[in-house]
Amino acid sequence: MKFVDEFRSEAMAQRLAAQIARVAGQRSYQIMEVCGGHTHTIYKHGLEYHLPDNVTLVHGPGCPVCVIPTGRLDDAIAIAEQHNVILTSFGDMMRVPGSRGSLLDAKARGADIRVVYSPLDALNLARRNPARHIVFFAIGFETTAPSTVMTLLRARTEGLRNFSVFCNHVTIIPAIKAILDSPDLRLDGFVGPGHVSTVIGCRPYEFVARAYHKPIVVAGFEPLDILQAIYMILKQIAEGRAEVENQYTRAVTREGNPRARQVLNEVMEPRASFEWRGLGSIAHSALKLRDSFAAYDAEQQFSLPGIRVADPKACQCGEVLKGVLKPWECKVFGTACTPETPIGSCMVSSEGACAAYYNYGRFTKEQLRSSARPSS
Amino acid sequence: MDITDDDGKRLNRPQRRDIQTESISFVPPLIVPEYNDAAKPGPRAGSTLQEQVLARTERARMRAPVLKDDLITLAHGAGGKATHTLIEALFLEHFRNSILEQLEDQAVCALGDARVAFTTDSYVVSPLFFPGGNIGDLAVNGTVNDLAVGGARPLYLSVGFVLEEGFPVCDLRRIVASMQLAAAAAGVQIVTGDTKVVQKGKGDGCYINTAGLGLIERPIRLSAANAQPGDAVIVSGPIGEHGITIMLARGELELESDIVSDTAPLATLVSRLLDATLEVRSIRDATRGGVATVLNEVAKASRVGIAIDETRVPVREEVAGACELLGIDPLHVACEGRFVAVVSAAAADKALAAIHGSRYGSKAAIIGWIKAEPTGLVLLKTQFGGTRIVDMLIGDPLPRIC
Amino acid sequence: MEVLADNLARIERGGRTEIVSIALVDASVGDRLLVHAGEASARVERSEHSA
Repeated sequence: MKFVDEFRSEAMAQRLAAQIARVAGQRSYQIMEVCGGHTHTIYKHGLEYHLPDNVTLVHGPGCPVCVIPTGRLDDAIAIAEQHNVILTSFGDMMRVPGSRGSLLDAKARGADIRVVYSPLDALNLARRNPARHIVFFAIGFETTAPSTVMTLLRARTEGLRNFSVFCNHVTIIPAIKAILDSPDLRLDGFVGPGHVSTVIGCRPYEFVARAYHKPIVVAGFEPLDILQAIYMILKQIAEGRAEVENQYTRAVTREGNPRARQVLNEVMEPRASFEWRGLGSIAHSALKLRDSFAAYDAEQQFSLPGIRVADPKACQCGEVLKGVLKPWECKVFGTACTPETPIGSCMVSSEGACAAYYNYGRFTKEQLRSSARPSS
Repeated sequence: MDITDDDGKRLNRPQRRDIQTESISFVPPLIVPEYNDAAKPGPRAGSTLQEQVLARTERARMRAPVLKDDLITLAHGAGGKATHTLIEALFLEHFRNSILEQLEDQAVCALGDARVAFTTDSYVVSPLFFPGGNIGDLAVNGTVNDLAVGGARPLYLSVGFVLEEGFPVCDLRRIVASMQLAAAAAGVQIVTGDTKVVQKGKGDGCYINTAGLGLIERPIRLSAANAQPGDAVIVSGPIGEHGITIMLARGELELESDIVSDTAPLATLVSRLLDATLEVRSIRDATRGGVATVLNEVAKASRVGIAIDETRVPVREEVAGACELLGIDPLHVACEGRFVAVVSAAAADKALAAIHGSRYGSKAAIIGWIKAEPTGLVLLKTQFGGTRIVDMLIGDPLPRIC
Repeated sequence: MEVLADNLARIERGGRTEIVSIALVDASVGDRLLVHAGEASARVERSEHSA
């Protein structure tokens, strides 16, 4: 992929790394990225290895899989266990634990649950299986909500009667605010989400700079984008500024995509509040289908337990997600909560800080870095 | 070197495997987060909370694998962590014997004076027919390859069919014809078999089981436990083609592509390699779980680290693109005509030349090296210059690909 | 790439072709798009990365 390869040049990375080290100086910084896609890029390309030791990345609650609470998982399983239903879901939801096991466990018990890669796949399934009812387990931030919405509009245009959506879309701004409001906050800046911003634009982040005086830089998804955004954040701090900057100018504008927002608004509306695993209830932080789409709303079509299942008392994912606790400081880390018997999302998701630390924490960065240099 | 006798002395006796921990999804992890500012290598006076926690998790990891699931899930068939736990905690526990404990792709048994390789595989691929092949030639090549990577000359195959009531005979004829072509190409004979039929709804068209026998004529014992620091890691061609082909052939995605399965018999290729040099430690075919799984198996069995260079791993552009779209790492995607070989550093160039000169090996490449540390880990230097850990496959993004 | 009926388009990505929805962007042949879960959300300009 030629276009993408331009952004993956090692030489440019090293130059940016040097610039970052220079502007970072001696003090230590904690920077949070709030987008699962960024976390993925950071891991996939080993970006943290290009950062000096005094700049730490804290992986925020931008993984929509991680924040789905137990009660909603139980509801999804309840839907899947209904007669004639095919529940479709993204693959990474399959192992999130509910009260009685995960979607994968429910599938092993006989529920028809299938992995799809987009809501359009689910729609195709509905077209091909008129005798079954297909439910799409919709998750994601404002990034994936447009695709869910467009799929719903298509379903309605075609007059499909055997398709509905179990909507668990969440919005990013309330989550950022909840982190900023957290009393033990120790973050110096934010790498702002990329894809979400193509929809919502940069304006919504202005409160971060204005009210909380933290820099926030919207970044693209290529490794160089993220490094450049980190550099821009550190530069702001060094210059005593706190602003919203856009590193991802090639895809994000200040206004975002008004057509996408309009279409979102036509089909969905904010919920009064929504529970986030590890963060508790946050007001106006999620979306549900409007009444005009009740026929496509799985919550209205099926009677769901709708029980709010509290996070286990011992679970401290909330603090880990906010960067307040390190994984080993959590009381249940490594004992009751392990990757095989995860209690919270930080251990469930392979991108979660706790899972990463459990599996690989015994190695220092230096050891890994030097071992990875292949001899020739 | 690699000359051993069958009765006892093995180079590195494989230990009981470390506990395989599970986590979610097919997104490949991860690198170490920046929490280790306190922990430097070497002894320290006193013990911080962090060190205590690390010691505790290390002890937990060293315990034998335990099967905690009540029900079999698709993850158990994926070839990754869950599969390994099932094999070690259940099958090996019950069937335990010194041959099975090797857990290679084939069993090496003494029959009189001969060293015989023996293997079995079952095929449940869906769909049965796909670009590049079908369940039949997949089955023949798969078993031939399991024998070949043990250093054996594949000779005889058995085949068992489990057919579903209502399965079209013309489809069965196509499958069987392919099997004969594949067998002839590989130089093996199908000498015995079995057929069962189950009622409609109780079996998905056609399942095939094959078993194979081969003769090991060279004074070599290949084992995943033989790798030594400094050895080179070679992959025999571009990776991930079979798994992606199957994924696309399921027709559930709106993608079009020219990718075809790489199913192929590797006996001649392996033979050329072993003719060129006997300083080959291990050869494994990279099927379910992909190259990453094979590398992890070697790292754990040999108690070594492996460092791979992402820019050296051959992947076709279309496969890389499809993987990116699906959120899968090509290193985790099954191949059916590729092997991973670990050879001594001195013999690496000779080995590569021999493979390049063979059919199915023209795009082979040295992708990395064995290191002394960190033991049991596979590290990848990304094309971007960073470092990432390549774990064994977790979960099952691509069920029933072989 | 080719624009199809019903706000769909055939795009080329990584050596393969794929059908995605372009209902939310103004796109014409030759444009580069940011696509998520089958839905294009933005046009992408060539970068000015010169660092």
